[in-house]
Amino acid sequence: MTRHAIRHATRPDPTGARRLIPRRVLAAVVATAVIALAGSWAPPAGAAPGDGARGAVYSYDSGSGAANTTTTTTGAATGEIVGAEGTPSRAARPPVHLRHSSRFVAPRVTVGALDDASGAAFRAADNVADFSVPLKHQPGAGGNYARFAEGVDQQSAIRAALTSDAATFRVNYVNGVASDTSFRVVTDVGQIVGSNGQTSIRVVVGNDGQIWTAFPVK
Amino acid sequence: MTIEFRCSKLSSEANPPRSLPDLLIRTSADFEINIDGETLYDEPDFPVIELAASLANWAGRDAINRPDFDFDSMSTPDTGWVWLRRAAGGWRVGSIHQRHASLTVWSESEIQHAVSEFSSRIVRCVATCLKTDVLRWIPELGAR
Repeated sequence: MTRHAIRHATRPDPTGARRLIPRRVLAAVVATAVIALAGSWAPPAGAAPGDGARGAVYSYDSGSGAANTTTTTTGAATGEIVGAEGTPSRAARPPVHLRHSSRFVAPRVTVGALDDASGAAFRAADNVADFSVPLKHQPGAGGNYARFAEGVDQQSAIRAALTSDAATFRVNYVNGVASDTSFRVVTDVGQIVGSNGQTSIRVVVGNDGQIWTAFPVK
Repeated sequence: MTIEFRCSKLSSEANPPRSLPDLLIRTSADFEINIDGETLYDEPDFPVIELAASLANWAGRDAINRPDFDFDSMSTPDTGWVWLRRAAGGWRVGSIHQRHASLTVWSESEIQHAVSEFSSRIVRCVATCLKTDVLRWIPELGAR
């Protein structure tokens, strides 16, 4: 199954309490992630839980199960998926690189959550023909809404956004609460797609691979 | 003085709505924040169900520790199309797209009343216009 390459970077979270992947999402995938990684990863020698102030960087090869470590600067852990590579199966998946600065369990959980989101994004790309952009985001619509520019192939642009190596994955808020059934993908597709010159697209995707909505963003 | 969250011309691109996204994203109405008969903010095709549910969840939290409300909609690129900010003695209401600023401070009970009325109106309108029980998907609207 196709997946994005995953990088879990250490950097300050600009939204404060708004984490890229909500706690409930992480909790929901713990079992899957631990099963996937169990037996093939262990804390590096000399490192201990809680010494994340040093910011250990773990590289985990999900194909071979090899794990390595270096050190880096500290920072709040945030999730990001970068890169899109076709991976025909879990066993043949390319290396998944992740960094974390808090606990050993974090990389296991985060890889699972991001991996699930990546899979859903690619399923959403396969489903894009079934999706139509809401009327408020169509060219010429009223109000203050973000609108696609005239002449843009919306479905092609959305498909590109979902499969791009520039895709970033964010928390989706449903009724003011971080959702554990959906997420946002934001991608700069490298060309103007919005009526105000926007080159990025935000796509809200359900965990089942259904596209909820999509519109241009700056 | 009175504050009112108004909606009219409710309609859905998915009729009848069959899912939560159909209700929150593809069902909309003309929306207005009205203060004593004067429009503070209005927007066509607004995700009123999403706003009502977000307000209901927010208003249901402990009043003392409740943070400011910034509407984070799945249909807008930025937050704050509707906001409520804590002020001495209550809350100020506005929008990043408001026609003018309102300095009126609304008490907790006035805000609770406005949110409750808005939730009730949404439930009734969706039932009447779309023959759909919105509480099936968003039960918190019935708790107001």
